[in-house]
Amino acid sequence: MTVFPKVDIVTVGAGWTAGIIAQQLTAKGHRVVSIEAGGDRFANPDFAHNHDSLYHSLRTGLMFNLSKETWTWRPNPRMPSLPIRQYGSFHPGVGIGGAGIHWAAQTWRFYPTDFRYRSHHIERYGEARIPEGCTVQDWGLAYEELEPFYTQADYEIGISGQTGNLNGAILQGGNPFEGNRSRPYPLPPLFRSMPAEMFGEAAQGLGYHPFPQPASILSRAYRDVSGRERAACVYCGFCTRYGCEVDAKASANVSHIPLALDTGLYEIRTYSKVINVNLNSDGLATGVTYVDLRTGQTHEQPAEVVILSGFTLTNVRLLLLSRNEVHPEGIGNDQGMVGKNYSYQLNKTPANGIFEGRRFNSYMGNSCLQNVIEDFNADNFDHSELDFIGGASITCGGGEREPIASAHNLQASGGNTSPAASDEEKPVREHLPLPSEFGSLIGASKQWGREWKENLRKNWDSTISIGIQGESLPYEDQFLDLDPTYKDAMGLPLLRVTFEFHENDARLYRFVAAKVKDIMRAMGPTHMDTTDELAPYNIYSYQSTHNTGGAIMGTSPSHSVTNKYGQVWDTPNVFVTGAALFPQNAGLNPTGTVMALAYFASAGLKNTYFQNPNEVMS
Amino acid sequence: MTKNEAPKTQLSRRGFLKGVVITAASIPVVAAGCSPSEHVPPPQTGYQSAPPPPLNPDVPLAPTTPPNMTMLRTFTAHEARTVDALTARILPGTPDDPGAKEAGVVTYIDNMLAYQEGFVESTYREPPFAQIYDGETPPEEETSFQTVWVAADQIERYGYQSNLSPREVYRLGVIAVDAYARSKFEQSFVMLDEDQQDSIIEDMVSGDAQVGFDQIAAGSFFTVLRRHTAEGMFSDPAYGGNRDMVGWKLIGYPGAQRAYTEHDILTETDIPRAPQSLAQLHAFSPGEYSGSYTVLPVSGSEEEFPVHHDHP
Repeated sequence: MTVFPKVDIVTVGAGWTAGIIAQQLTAKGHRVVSIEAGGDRFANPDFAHNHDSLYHSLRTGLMFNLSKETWTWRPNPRMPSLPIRQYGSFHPGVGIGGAGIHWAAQTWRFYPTDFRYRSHHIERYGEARIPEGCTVQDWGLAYEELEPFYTQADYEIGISGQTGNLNGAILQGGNPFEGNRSRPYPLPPLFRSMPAEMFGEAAQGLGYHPFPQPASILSRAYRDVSGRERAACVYCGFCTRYGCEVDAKASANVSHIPLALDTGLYEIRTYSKVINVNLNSDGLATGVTYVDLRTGQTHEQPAEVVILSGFTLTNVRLLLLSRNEVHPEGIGNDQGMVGKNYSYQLNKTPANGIFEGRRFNSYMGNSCLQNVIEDFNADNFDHSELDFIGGASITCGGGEREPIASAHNLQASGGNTSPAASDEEKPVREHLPLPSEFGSLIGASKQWGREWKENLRKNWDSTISIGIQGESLPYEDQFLDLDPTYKDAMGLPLLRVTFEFHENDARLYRFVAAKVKDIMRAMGPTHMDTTDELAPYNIYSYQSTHNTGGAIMGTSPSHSVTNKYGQVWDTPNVFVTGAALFPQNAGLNPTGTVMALAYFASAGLKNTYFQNPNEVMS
Repeated sequence: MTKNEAPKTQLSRRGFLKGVVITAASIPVVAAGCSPSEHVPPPQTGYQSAPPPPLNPDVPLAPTTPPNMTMLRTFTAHEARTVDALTARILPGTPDDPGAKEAGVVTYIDNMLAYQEGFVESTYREPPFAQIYDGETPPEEETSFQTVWVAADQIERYGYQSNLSPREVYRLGVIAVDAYARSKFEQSFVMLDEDQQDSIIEDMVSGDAQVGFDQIAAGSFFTVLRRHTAEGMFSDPAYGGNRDMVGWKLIGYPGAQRAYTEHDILTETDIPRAPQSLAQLHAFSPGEYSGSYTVLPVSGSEEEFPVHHDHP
């Protein structure tokens, strides 16, 4: 074992939040080391020649290596947990840049009401409207407090979009529901696809407010925080699940990581996996222990501050695994709050249409060619007469259609073959599901023979889906803990996810799916399949990598793990970043908020924390 | 990986990034705690055709030379003929209108199964495995073997849980298809005519095919076959299928392209660009860091980030 010289900050992983913090703190002269489980990879050469959809989409080549460590899942505490043996519901990354390499780069600010979810809903609708067992709460951080950091991210990274609310003035063509922006988007939106325009027109006709998807993909060349001019998107069609070959899609390793490395104060140790946050008898962290995955040797990196900046599930697991006599249940868990408020989302496609004779070029571009309506998300619409709270984004027209899964899943031009139709009927099985029988992107379509072939020939590029990204709230019976049975390759317990959709989700889905159906009908398909009811959660089909909670922020140690900076109440020299901090999820992609929170935590660290180390910041 | 205290010259980031090409090989030095030395970038002579070291060893990189279509690596000759015939019914074709057989789907599957028993995506294979029960509660069997009991109407939600490898799935699947074919038509599957073969597949899809399918479900095997047919038909030809890009021509997909314009995105055409494979895709920014090229006007002003003026 090597014990390295002590540094100011050690981070778990070198993804988005570690990259932002490393850049912000090395600029102030702090020494930072990141311990990264994966390798290094950059646009050139690693992504220069990567247009292989089998490798990236079907075989999830850039994802975290499940054979060594996975997660287990069960629907509720009464049912057994089993390991996620192959990729399905979500896609965590590994390597420099983390999941911020293969992300779709859809970038949002959460709504002001999202940050005071509980108070807002009680004020407007009364406490009775919070579902039974639902543990929603306020963040302890107001939108207004985070706004400057959202703006910092917009400009330092380079975000493309149509401004909807500039200092309270509602601007045409943007999201009229968004919180006040102090500055407009630095870049105009990306191009829209034909389906996006058709959707926009139909939605507008119904009185809704379509606008272009905001994205961390450059619509024009842009000089980002690193001082380098990055090229604009070339709409190649290989974006989500790929690394960007021209650095138009933002990631920590096109901007923040090179900048931090340039200072000489930053180091990344690749193929090195943190297995423990070390604690002393005062209950403070002294650094981390990690394994060099190539040699199997264990090393120690002492640090003043430990930052858990891995994926949501990684961070929660490390909190639970790191214990001593002061924190016998793990770091941050003195009051039993670690693992609580795990939330997910309703990422579904309630309507699919075939438009015979059309060719939409849906294989071009990226996922952000879409238009969006937010008329039925969050509390943007009156819930007084409704039987649920929350809402969903409705989106249509994302490109980069991948040929293999889309051919496999192509809807039949007669009869309802949408995947959820078979999900609903609760299949009874005599045999265990086979490898490759289900997969992240593989649905249950069974069309075959000449009929399938003619459908592929005629309609492969003639289909349009309308998707939703809905809120899914936290509940008492939905949480993360250590699995009692299954272990990783080092013999440490896997993290167990206990999660199921609840009645509020089913009602929300039913309401939004009906709206989606109206819009699709207005778009005039020759054939339409819809899924009107929410099927039970499954772990095999890809939904979103928007797993949140488990180390949530709040105003008091009895209801949260950290304060608004992500500083752990009971171990104040440990910080958590990322979506583990969200008390509940929103119906929006989380990374914009994750980035803003990383800037916010960086400001706290450099301006306040290091003046009074080991003190809880207020 | 550490940036040295090198003089701040214009190579700053480019030098660092070029260094990355060899940094991968030198990581153990850094990780072992030695001070990093200044790497000498290798000469940059066009596109580096050697693939980078795999980041995820569980997923094979595309073969650099296409698989030999006459050499079986996994299947017996009978298995290959059966899978060829099955996939040819799932996506039928003729020499003039190619389907799975003409595309070489069986070559794709045979080569896929040669890698880690067919586990070509990362897969957690640690026990205990699940066991299905029908009814309200698991049977109270005396057993010394550890399994996890899961209700028959819930197991599907957990996704892949079988202890079979993909290679075993094909071994058992071909045996089962033949057994069912013999029970229905008294001949193995490859000996049947196309209508008879279609009726076997219909029974697999509907679940009527029971005889012979003792170890794997007919519907499950069909789904696996159909998925791999799609993979062999529409993946890059480097993997052994999609021969002459016939799959992409069928659906009108142009394969690996470098870029599309707004005009491309918004223009409907019955004649998309001619498809090209990954091997045909031209090199991009050869040997240079791609970000060095600025092809459009730059927005964002230098005043935003005054600290970093020394960068190119």
